[in-house]
Amino acid sequence: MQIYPLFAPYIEFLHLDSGWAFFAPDPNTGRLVRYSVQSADGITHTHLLTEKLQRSDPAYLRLTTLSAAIKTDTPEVIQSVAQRLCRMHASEHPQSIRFTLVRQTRITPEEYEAGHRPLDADFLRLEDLPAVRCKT
Amino acid sequence: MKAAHFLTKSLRSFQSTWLAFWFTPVTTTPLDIIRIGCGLSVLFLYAFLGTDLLSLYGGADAWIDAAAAHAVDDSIWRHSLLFHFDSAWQFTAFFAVFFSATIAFTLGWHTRWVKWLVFIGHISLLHRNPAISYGVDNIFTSLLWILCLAPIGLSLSLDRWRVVRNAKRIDITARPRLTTHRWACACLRLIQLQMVIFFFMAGATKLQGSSWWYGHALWYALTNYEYANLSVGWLADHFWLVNLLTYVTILLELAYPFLVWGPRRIWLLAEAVALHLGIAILMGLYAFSFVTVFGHVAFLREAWLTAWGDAWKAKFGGMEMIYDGHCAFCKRSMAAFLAFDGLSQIDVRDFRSNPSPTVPDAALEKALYLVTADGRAIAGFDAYRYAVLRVPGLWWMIPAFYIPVLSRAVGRPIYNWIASHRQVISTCSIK
Repeated sequence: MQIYPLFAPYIEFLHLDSGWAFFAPDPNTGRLVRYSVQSADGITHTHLLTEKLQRSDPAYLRLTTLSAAIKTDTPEVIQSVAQRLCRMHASEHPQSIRFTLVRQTRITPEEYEAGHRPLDADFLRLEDLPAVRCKT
Repeated sequence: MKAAHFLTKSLRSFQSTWLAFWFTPVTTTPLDIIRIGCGLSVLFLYAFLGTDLLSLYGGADAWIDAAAAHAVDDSIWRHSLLFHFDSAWQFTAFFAVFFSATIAFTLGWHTRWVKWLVFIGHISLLHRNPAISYGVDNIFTSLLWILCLAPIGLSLSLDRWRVVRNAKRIDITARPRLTTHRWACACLRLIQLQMVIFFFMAGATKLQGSSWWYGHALWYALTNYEYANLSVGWLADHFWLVNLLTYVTILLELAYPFLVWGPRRIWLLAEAVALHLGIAILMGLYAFSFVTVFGHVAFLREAWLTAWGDAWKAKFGGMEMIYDGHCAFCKRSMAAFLAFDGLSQIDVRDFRSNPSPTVPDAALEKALYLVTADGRAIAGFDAYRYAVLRVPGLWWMIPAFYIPVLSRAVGRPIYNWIASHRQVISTCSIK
């Protein structure tokens, strides 16, 4: 007998199933989303999803959270965000959007003291996702 | 026979302890402090998004369309009004109602029903775009839900202000007591349990991670691009601080659920607030820290609030306002003004029926006076100016009374004009 279904409406409606795990079991490494806008004349511009936002802006953490939802197993999210970016860059006459998932790797204090920084190329792993065509 | 007697006694003891834990009548002041914190959080979380609001939570230009939202979270229990909207005016109307309700909720105006509008609005926003929800939404939703069940708005609110003002219109010296509620106690307990579970789970899940055991976790969190709010070079130079703060964090999260119920409560609360300040400053999680600090308010003892109020009164209280009791306008405005004096710092005297030993009647014919504890008499605009700085319930008026030069330059003539025309303004009846 399962009791969860009995409580599911209450728990899921109120988001009580979130787990309450913060930075656990270990803090995640950072994750960014870059995207390239391929325009009709073949020029490609690359942007960061959060590049225009100050950290103090409440939208900043919303978009970094959105970045984490952009992954290969949720094609609906990739499609939706890509179409939003197509509309956002309409003045560039975009043909397609290509996402690059940028994952940080861990940086040690010694490496930091040696002058390396978390976003140095050596500490990033990149994964290109297939291009998404802009709907006209 | 003895066993039955023992069992009955134990059950009665358990029942009385249980009822005392959940249903001891208490004032709603801690709940209303949490209400104000939650209201301000809603404004920060949503209103400050400005034009991003529509793209984040719906509309034709949304980041996440309905299909993507369902792909992220397909629970049938996550309803949102926003899924039913498709035109701009519907979104505009939704946000207008939601923000109006939130302002009313924060100020405590018709709190009994506007709290439901805030809850429905927040849940609709949260469920409309599950791809952008994070910790703050979870803790905030829990607090808001319990506040909806609670009898809030009975203190620190415009609802309370109206009750006191109406009583003072009948008798200016009236000081209606704050009502106590058994259900307020139950709701405070629910918030306390929520905070305890939240801390325990946060600590227990960290025990599964090696970086917390080795004392490196804080370093990994602070070098994460998403949360790196400050340069961490100084921490790399003093890595022992990272170790210390990592262990202190996990120790506090595990100790809080158990020790916060005991005599060390004030220290646990101080450490929890310090932890959240650190999270806000080092990681930029301002809204999360703000909401959580207000969650801890549920643990404030009523005796502490009373003692803090008494200490404030002892330091800044002890003032008397002398007004014209034959002037209906003066009585009405005095009732409205004094209704903000939640700590009862201001005594009142009607010089018509009770002449002042300090200020002559001739002076009182011209203006209201305030007499301080040390016997100084302050007239008119400056009397109000003195009071608004020292009475917490009047602090919202400080900007109007303390704009350099302008407040006095404009305020004094306006006050003097009203004072000299009060008989015309009101239905004044000097006998």
